[in-house]
Amino acid sequence: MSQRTLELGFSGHSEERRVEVPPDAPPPWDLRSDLKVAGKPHPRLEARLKVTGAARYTADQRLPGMIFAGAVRSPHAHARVRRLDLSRAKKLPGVLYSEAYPQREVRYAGQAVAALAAESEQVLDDALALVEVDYEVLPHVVRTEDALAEDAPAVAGRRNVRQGRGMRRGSLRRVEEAHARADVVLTREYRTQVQTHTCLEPHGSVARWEGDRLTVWASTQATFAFRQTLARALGISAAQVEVITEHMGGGFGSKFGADAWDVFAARAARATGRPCFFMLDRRAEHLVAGNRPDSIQRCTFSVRRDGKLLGAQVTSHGTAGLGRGAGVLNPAIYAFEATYSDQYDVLTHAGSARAFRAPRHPQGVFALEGMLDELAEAIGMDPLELRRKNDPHPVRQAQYDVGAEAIGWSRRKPSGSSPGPLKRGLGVAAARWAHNARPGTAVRCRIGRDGSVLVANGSQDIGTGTRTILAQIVAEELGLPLAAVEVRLGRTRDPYGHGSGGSVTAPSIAPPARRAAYACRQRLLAAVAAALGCEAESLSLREGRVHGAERELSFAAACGLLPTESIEATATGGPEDMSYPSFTREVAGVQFAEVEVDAELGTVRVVKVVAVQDCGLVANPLLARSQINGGVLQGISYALHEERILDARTGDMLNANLLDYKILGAREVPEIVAIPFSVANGRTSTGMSSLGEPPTVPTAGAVANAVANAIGARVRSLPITPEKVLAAIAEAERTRRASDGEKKKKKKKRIF
Amino acid sequence: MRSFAYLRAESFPAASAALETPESLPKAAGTDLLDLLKERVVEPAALVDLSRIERAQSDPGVLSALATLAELAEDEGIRRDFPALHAAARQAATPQIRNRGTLGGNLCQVSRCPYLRRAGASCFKRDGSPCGALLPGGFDRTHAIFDVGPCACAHPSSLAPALIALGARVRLVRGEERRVLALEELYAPPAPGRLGDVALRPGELVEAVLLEASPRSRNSVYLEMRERESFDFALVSVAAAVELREGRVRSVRVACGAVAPRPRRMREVEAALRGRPLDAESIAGAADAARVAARPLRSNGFKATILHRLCVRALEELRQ
Ligand SMILES: Cc1cc2nc3c(=O)[nH]c(=O)nc-3n(C[C@H](O)[C@H](O)[C@H](O)COP(=O)(O)OP(=O)(O)OC[C@H]3O[C@@H](n4cnc5c(N)ncnc54)[C@H](O)[C@@H]3O)c2cc1C
Ligand code: SF4
Repeated sequence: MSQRTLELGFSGHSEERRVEVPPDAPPPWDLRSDLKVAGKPHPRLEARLKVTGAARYTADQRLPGMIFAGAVRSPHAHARVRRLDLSRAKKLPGVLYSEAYPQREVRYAGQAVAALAAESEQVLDDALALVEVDYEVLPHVVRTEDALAEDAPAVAGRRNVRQGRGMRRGSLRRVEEAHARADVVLTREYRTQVQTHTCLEPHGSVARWEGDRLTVWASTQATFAFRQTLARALGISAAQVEVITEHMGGGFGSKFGADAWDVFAARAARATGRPCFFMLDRRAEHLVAGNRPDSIQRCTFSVRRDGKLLGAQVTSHGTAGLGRGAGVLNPAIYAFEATYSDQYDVLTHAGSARAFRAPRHPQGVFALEGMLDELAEAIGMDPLELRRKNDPHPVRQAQYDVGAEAIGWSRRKPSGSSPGPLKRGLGVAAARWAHNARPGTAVRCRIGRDGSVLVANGSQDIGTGTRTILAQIVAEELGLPLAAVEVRLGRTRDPYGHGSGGSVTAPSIAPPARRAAYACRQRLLAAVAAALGCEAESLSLREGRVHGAERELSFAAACGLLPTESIEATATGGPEDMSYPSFTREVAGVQFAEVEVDAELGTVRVVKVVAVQDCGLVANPLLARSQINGGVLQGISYALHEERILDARTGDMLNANLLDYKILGAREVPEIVAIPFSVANGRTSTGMSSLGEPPTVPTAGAVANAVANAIGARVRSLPITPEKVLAAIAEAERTRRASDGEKKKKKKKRIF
Repeated sequence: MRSFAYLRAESFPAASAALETPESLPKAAGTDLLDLLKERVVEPAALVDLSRIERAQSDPGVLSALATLAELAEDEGIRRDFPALHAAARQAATPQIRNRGTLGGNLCQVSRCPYLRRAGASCFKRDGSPCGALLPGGFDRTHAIFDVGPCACAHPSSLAPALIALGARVRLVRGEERRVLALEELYAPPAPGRLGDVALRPGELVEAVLLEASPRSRNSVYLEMRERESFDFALVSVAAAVELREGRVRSVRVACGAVAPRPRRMREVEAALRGRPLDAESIAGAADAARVAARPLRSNGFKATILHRLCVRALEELRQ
């Protein structure tokens, strides 16, 4: 162990910390580290491939002899399958394989009842239309509110409303005591919608057998979990399966393992001896591949006139369809004296939810931040001031300043005071995330005698820039330019890596990558020292050269001195260099939004978003901004447009396409000022924090607050559609007129 | 989609003759038709492709049915003489669709009603079954606020109201026969099997749209409200053309889209303006008149409010 003193924190707010560094690990990077490649704005390595269309995604695979698979899906939310007849379909020339799933009941629209594989997409399409299914339609319920009713059809078991473990937190008694001491207590209901993941690349895979070995190209955010679940479903060993994910077209939490369609593709490929392609179509994407649950959040919050937040109480109901996990997180961003939350899953006849970029957070923050603004309004305090007063986190305190300056918060006018039909407004919201670095990821680094450097890990780059970050880390450690390092990702024959969920990937993969490179570096320098007859400690690696006391030589020449063809080290992330005492365990973020509302038509345009996001040490400012931009865009889309619409009568989805299910498009993109905020937290040897999810957490809250500021009325329900804006304005006008009437009456009384 | 025979027509009369084949449909660019084929909402045995028909030398007052929306949007003469059409064509759909989609296809396109576009859903217009939007619990948010009968759909074309306000006529062709109709007469009330809501006879095609430039057409405007700027249809659209003489409205035409099963000529608005000065008062009165006949459904009352406000804005723009 060696002792090191680190300077942690952020500029203007740093502190020194002494840590013990294991002998075979590099000392953690901190504020003093002078990095040359890591932390620099390198464009992502595969950028050219992606923008020219040369990058091959799973959906682009076309293998010789490949066949195509698809499913017959129930149009009913709840039905009994009386008869399922594949005979006509199977007779169609070119139909090669089929499976029937004669489950007694289908319980959501979109559930598969049969699947087929055929020579071509056209034959497949014709064959699917020939499958005859006779359904006995049963009572269903697809809306959360309807499912809460006493006489609602039971979805599973007796009760539709369930409370899982951990879904009741805090102390109701303490919250009520806090409310009792408050000057203002508000009770409001906030609602959010079901959002589907809408990955541009659909779910699915291409399977090919060679003997008893299976290769699968998969659109997955967890190659190893995919391999495991697929092998288990097929009853083979994971060692027989190789999963390949070279490029990924979006997952957002919905692609963590092999799904029924992937298993079908593998079985069809085995049965026919031909590679099989099964990617979902857009309708199935919306129906069966996951979603973010909706929520009805009843909030009672209280505050003292001086701005001290007292009690926060939230009761929420939401549906994850047939699945669970519809709770919301109104995270402890602010220091309330007491909090209490009571959360319920409501079962409905709809496709199950899956993890979705910051599960439970955006919906919770939308309500929390709305309530904060309502309290601020009630006590006549600037909303930013209220947050500053109650936010204990030093990083966010600094971010409030940076963000307020960038958006021009001082321009903010009192709510509803913007004249004319086009009204501008400003809003703010904050986010909190955990610093999720998980041990267990392994990275192999190999230096060849020819001077080549290869870094390999079997997990995937889901678009977050993992490949580029790995190259940067290793290049930094070896004193090389980025281009000297080759990265291989997305093949399960390489060392293990976690699924990309919880924003763990970069923070978990960077420390072992650095450590593997560090080990190779030590061995390379030892070999050079032996060849030159000097001490390894007297040598250093910088700018592509080995520097000694007397002489220096190029990296390639140094590698030429290796006694073996190559040297190789595999490091696995472990507690030794991933859990140093850190500056903070929390990832902090703040966003400001400016909107323009057409108060006559109800349309909302987001003009500008400032997103200040704690990234730990910024791995790469371009990639960091790209993550922030993506989070903000998805957040705006959630705030204003996206919503799964199920027909109450049939339970079928009415907007299962990309025209009626509205995701924001190019014309809706505002000016985004993404400010990666660097914090040396010292937790791991590389200091990178979780960044994939947190930037989407506060956006909807900030936009909603800006809308309320613009129109002087609050829309408490997402998405903020024109009719909701118009209704809120009309309601506020009615209230104002009523209270004006009151005042006039009172005045008159006084006159009399 | 079901497999079909594909016929490429050389001329409108030839296309019309080819359409005598039972279960055949005309296809222009296919930007609307292809979606319907893929969803198996229509399953024709044959498609007659119009898109390769040689276009006649263009005459400024004659717009070929095969003109693309992009061509209309970029045409200087249209911009000058028919600003409402220019605006409608420029805003419609997406650049990609405007580059391919044709005027004829736009006028004959099929409603965006989600029940109509889902094979198997209940829909009066598709097969005479009860209207899914009007059934209890049905989705009617984007639907009609006027003239709701057995079908409640909103007409999707944004070019149609602009052209109606401009007094356009359509030239139809059937074999060697031709006839000319006022554009509003092209549209017929919803009837089962008549997906595009057009009163064309079997084999009849839209060949051209006829326009006459006038002081009224030059003083025209088209405004629409949609939820998303990129890639979307209007929730309400308003087109108006006004000729003012000595400060008074000498002639006026107003039409709206997306508020009724057919593009809707707004005669009550026209009546409220004719002969009066175009001022804040008459405009307010005209906008009020616009929604007098509106009968919103359960969840689309906001469309009447938006219609009212768009009418005010459109007419304000024509005050000169
Ligand atoms: C995402 C999206 C957004 C859109 N937004 C808008 C919008 O904002 N405003 C708007 O107005 N439109 C909009 N559209 C519709 C678009 O304008 C039409 O799809 C296009 O104009 C149709 O032209 P087409 O040549 O592709 O027609 P096709 O798809 O080839 O044909 C459409 C229909 O018309 C029939 N048809 C075609 N030509 C003739 C003819 N000459 N005579 C008789 N019948 C004919 C066909 O049989 C078919 O039923 C949008 C479409 C999409 C996909
Ligand atoms: S509104 Fe018209 S098109 Fe839609 S379901 Fe009803 S009948 Fe069919």
